[in-house]
Amino acid sequence: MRKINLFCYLVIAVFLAGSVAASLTSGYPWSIACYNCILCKHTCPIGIDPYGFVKAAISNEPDLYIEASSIRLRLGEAAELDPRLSLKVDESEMTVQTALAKGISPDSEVTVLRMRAKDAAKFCPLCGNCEKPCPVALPIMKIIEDLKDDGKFND
Amino acid sequence: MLGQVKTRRLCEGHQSWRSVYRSKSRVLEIRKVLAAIALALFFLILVASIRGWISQSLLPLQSILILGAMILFLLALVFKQPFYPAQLLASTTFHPITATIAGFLLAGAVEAGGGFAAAGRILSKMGKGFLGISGTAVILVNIPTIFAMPCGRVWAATLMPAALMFGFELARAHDDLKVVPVIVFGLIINAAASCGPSPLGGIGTMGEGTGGFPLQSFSNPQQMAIMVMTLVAMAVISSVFRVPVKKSVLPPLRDNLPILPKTAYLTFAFYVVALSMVFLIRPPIPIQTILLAMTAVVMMIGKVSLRELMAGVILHPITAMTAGFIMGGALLVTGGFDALIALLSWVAVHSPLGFIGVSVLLIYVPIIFPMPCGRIISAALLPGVILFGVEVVQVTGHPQVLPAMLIGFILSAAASCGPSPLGGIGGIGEGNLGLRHGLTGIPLQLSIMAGVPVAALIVSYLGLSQEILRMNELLLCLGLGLISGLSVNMTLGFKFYRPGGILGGLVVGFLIIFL
Repeated sequence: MRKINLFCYLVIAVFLAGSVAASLTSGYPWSIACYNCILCKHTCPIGIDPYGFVKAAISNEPDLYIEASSIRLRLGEAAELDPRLSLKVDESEMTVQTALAKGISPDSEVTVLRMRAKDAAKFCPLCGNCEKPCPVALPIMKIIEDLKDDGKFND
Repeated sequence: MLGQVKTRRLCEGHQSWRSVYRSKSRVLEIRKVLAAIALALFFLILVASIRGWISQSLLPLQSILILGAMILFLLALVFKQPFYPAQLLASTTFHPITATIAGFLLAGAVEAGGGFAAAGRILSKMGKGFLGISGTAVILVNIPTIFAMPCGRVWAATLMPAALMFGFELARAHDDLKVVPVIVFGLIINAAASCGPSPLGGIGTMGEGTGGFPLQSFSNPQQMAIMVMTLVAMAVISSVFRVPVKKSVLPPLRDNLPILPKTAYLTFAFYVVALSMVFLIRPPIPIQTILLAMTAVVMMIGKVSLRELMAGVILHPITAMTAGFIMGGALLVTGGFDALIALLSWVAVHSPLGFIGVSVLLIYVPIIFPMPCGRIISAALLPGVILFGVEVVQVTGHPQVLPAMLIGFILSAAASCGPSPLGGIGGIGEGNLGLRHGLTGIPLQLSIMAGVPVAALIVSYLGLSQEILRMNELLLCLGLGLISGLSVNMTLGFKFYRPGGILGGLVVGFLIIFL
């Protein structure tokens, strides 16, 4: 039983160390200082959740799916971007794959619900609204500009 | 031309997309089964901990949570649900963990520098002054909410020696040991709930951000409700739930207290002044940075060594919170929380409770499933609360229902770490008083049940505001402070009109609004 307990505590230590390592690797260790207050969420003019970019930096995962609720695309464009992109079609949530399988025309306009952080960064107008309400003045734009460049962190 | 080629290629893929669609429906069914199993397993872990079926001496709660999370991840693999480690990291809130570590380092430095011993002497002198024991006690138990930190454990661990000292003095004066748990658990529920209204990244800011409400608009209603929670917890433990404290817990009387160096008082003074400045100015710097800078200054003032500093860090709550977040991540990956919302939605539609009744249930879900940190469940269920809130607004036609529900849920989540059998703050008090693990769960849960509607009612009738000082809020807060003082007077065995207690309550009311 002692070995099981030791193993579990090691898992916790590895998890904490891993999170620090991931944020260091992404090049944004200050992202761990985020208060998770989500005050930035309603400031984006195109409905992207800026907290999603912070989460992507913490986990060093540019492919993390984040909320992006007001971006509108043609279904065909969305399919080229990411077939697993989450859309709202007629009040239902579905992926691009599912929408095409249902016979929805690739020329129809759809509203995005969730997309990869690196894809969302491409649509960001870099207005800086997300940084204004942050209580700890996190430079979120730096993460977005990095991802906008080539879709990778710190490359 | 290129566009036509692209479109044709996409249409040619439709046949394969149709089979994807059919398999997607099967995948959804599998996901529902997995989600139901995940929720049931989590419920089983909770009940096993509460009932003591799993002995903490064999398998502490951190191990139970990690093993439970591993089972869920294994089930996700068996059911072919994709997940990757980044999801787990992305779903964890590091703020309370790092704030707790920084807070413990600062508390350790102040403790090693003699600051809290100095605080104890100061409180003892206050107790002999006009405020008396009841007035000083009401201020002491409400300090965590006045100076609300992002994690209440910092205050609970820091002020526990003072709370115990007070309790023991009172127990000797009245020859009644029951006052000890009254003060200790009054402090604990106040500390547990204090992360809700904290302006330094408290859970309330999550609700404000998610719901799109003004910054700091949830703070004052929560703080007033926490005052009520505290006095209810103290009253319930004093009169209804007798907590059996053994006489052996009482320390021996000391005739002469050791003389404290001046640096001890200086350390404590710096601690209070610096914290007050942080709450007044609210600099745009992470609180962790501020706490570490304060630690460095205290180490210089109090001549504290690094070893003494590390002795102040308590690993148990940090590992409990981390294990809780890992379990929370596993529940998110397997859809356990989605299953809970789906279950509640089904009950709302198919039972006489309806959306209003289920909304009340949803607000109290955090204390039905109490986790070591309220953020775990609040991050997962906030979207569900908004969903239900919107439905109830449509049913009732009362727009203030949504912020009222949000604030009620957040306060319930914030305070839920108090009675949690999975390493909750209540364990600090139970451990110090030699009580059975989980004994004070019910009285603390009852106090949360009583306090949450207060916050919701305040929001319903006074609305939300970012203003620091509103006359109606000030009057209400002073009124609740007065009631608090009267109640604590009676709970501690004094006459209800004892002026010290009343003044203490009014001071608390004023400081809560002002800070």
